[in-house]
Amino acid sequence: MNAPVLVEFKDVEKRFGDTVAVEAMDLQIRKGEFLAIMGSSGCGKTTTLRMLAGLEQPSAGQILLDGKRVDTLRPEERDTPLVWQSLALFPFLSVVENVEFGLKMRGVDKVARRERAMDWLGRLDIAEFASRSVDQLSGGQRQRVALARALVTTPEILLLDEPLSALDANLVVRMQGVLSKLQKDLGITFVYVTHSQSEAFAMADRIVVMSNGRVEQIGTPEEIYREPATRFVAEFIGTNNIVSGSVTSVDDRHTTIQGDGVTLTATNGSTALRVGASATAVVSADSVRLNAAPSDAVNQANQIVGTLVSEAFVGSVVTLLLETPAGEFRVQTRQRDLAQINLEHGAKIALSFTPEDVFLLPDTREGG
Amino acid sequence: MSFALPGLLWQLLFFVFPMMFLIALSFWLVKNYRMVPGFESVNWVKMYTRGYFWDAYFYTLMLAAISTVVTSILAFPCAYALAFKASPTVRRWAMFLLIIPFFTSYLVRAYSWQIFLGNEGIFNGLFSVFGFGPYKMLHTMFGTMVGYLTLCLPLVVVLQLLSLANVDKNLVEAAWNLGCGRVRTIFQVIVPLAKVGLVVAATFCFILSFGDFVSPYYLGGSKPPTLSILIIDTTKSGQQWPRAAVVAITMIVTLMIVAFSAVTYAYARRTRQ
Repeated sequence: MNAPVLVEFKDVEKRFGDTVAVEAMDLQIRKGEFLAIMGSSGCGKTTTLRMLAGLEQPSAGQILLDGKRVDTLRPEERDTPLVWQSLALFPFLSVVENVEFGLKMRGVDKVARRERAMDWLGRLDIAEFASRSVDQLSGGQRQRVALARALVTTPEILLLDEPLSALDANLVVRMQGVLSKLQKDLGITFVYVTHSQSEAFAMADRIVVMSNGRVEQIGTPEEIYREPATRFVAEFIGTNNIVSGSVTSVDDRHTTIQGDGVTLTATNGSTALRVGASATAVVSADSVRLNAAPSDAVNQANQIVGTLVSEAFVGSVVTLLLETPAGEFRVQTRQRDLAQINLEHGAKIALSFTPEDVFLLPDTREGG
Repeated sequence: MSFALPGLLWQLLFFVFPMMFLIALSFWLVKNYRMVPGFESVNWVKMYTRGYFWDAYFYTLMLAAISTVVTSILAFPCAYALAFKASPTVRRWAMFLLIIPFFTSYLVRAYSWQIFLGNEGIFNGLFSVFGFGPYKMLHTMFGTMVGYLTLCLPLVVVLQLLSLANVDKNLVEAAWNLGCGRVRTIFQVIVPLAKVGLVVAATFCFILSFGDFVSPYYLGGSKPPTLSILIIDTTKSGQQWPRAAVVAITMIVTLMIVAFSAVTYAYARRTRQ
C-alpha cells in the first residue's frame, strides 16, 4: 500500500534528565494504516505515542501531522485522541457525558452533541448504558466508552496505549475484532502501542519494533516474523530459535554457517555474508519438523537432535521445548501431527528444517 | 459491643452530657446575679425577639461566608501550583511551612496584626512614604477578614493540596487530549475530581470563622458584634449565662446544618440529566 503520509517523525529525540527515552526516531505513518508500536516496557513506545499527542515535548527533531509541524502545539490544539491504558474515563460524568466531552470542548451545541454521542454508543453496542455512571460498567463496556469518546470527534488518527492489557484473554480477542473492524470501516489511522506480539500481529498492517529508545525494525507482521532485521527482533518474537555461528561457505544459492553442534544452510537473502563472518541464524518454531527416530545422519545440515524438556498445549497447537547442543529449541506443531512421536520427557527427537526456513542476519553487535 | 463501649462512654461524658446541660441551662433564670435552675422559655423568647440578636446572627453568617469564599479562592492557586507544578521536594517543604503557623497561638498571631493594621501601624507608615493614607484598617470588617485568613488560610491550603494531589493525572491529560484548554480543565475536570476535599476545606473555614471571637474582637473592634462577641457581652452584663446558652445552641445547630449540607453536597452523586 502506498497511501499518503499522515504522520512523520523527523530525527526525534526525547530525554528525561540524563535518560534517553527515544532517539533518532524516523518514522512515517500512512493514512488509513493500522500501525503497532511494539516493545518491552521502557523501550520508548509510550513516549513516542505521547509525543504524537503532545503530552510530551520532543527534546529534538520535528513531528509533522498532515504536513504541518505539531510538536510545538499544545495537546488541546491537536486532533490526536488517545485511548489510555487506564481508559481515563471521567468518574464524575455519566457514560454519554464522557462521550460528549470532546464535542462540548469544540463548542458543538447540546442537542447535536447528545445525538452524535448516542450514535457512537449505538455503533459500539452500549447505547443502553448511556445514562449509567462509568463505574457501573464492566471492563469491556468501559473499553467501548473510551473508544466512543475518542472517536466521536471523527479524528483522522486514533492513538491507543495498551488499551487491552487490563482485559481477560477471551475479551482481548473479542476487542481485537472490534478494533480491526472499526479501523477498516472508518478508514482512519490507528497507532497502537503494545507489548503483546499477539495483539500487534493480529491487527497491525505494519509493526514498529522498539528497544532502548531506538527503532529496531519497521515492517509488515510477515517481515517481522520471517525476516527479523536484528537479533533483538528475532529474540523478541518468542517463538524463534536462534543459533549463533560463523559462515563456512557461500555459493550462489546457499550460505552455510557452523554453530555449536549444528550446521545450518540457508537460502541466500538480501544481505550477503562473507566466509568467516559471524552470523545469527533464525528458525521460527513453526517451521521445524519432527522426526520420530533419530537417524545416524544427524551430521547433515539443518538437522539436530534434541532432548524433550517440556511441552505446552494451547488449543490445537503444541509447543515443545528441547535441549540441543545449539541451545534451547522450540518447536510448534499441531497436536494431531504428534501421534507417532514419543513425548516422554528425556526422549531424543530429531529436528530438521529446510534452507528456505533458515534466515541469516549478520552480527552487528548492536541493540540486542 | 464491648469494643464500642469506651467510645460510647466518652461520647456521653464529653459531648451528650455537656450538650444536655447547655440546653437545660438555656431554660434557667437569673435572679440577683445568681442562676436559678428552672424551666422557663423566657430566655429563648427574649433573645429571639431582639433585633440585635438577629443582626448579629446574619452579620456572623455573612462574615463566615465571605471568609469561606475569599479563603478558598486565595488558597486554590497556591494549592494547585503545589499539587501540579511543584517538584516533590518543594511540595514537601511547602507542606512543612504550612504547618508552622500552627506552632504559635492564633491569639498571638491575630493580636500582632494590630501593629501592622493600626492607623499609626506599619502599613500606614509605608503608605505615608508614598503620600497615601492613613487608611482605617484596624477595627473594620477588613481587619476581621485579615484575622480570619490568618486562622484559616494555611489549613485550607493544606486540605486543598491533599485532595488535589490525589487527582489522577491521566484524567487531566485526557481532558487536554480531548481539546480542553488549561484553564477550562481546572473547572471541568480538576475541581469536580477534588470536590470532596475542596468542600471539606471550605467547611472547616466556615466553622472556624463562624465561631471565632479573636478576630472580630481584636481586629474588628467588636462592632458590629458577632454571635461570639454577643456571648461574651451577655455573660459579662448581669451574669446572663442562660441567654448566652441560647446563642450558643443556635450557633451549634447552625453549624450542624451547614456541616451536614456540605458533606451531603460533597458526596452527592451527580443525578441524571
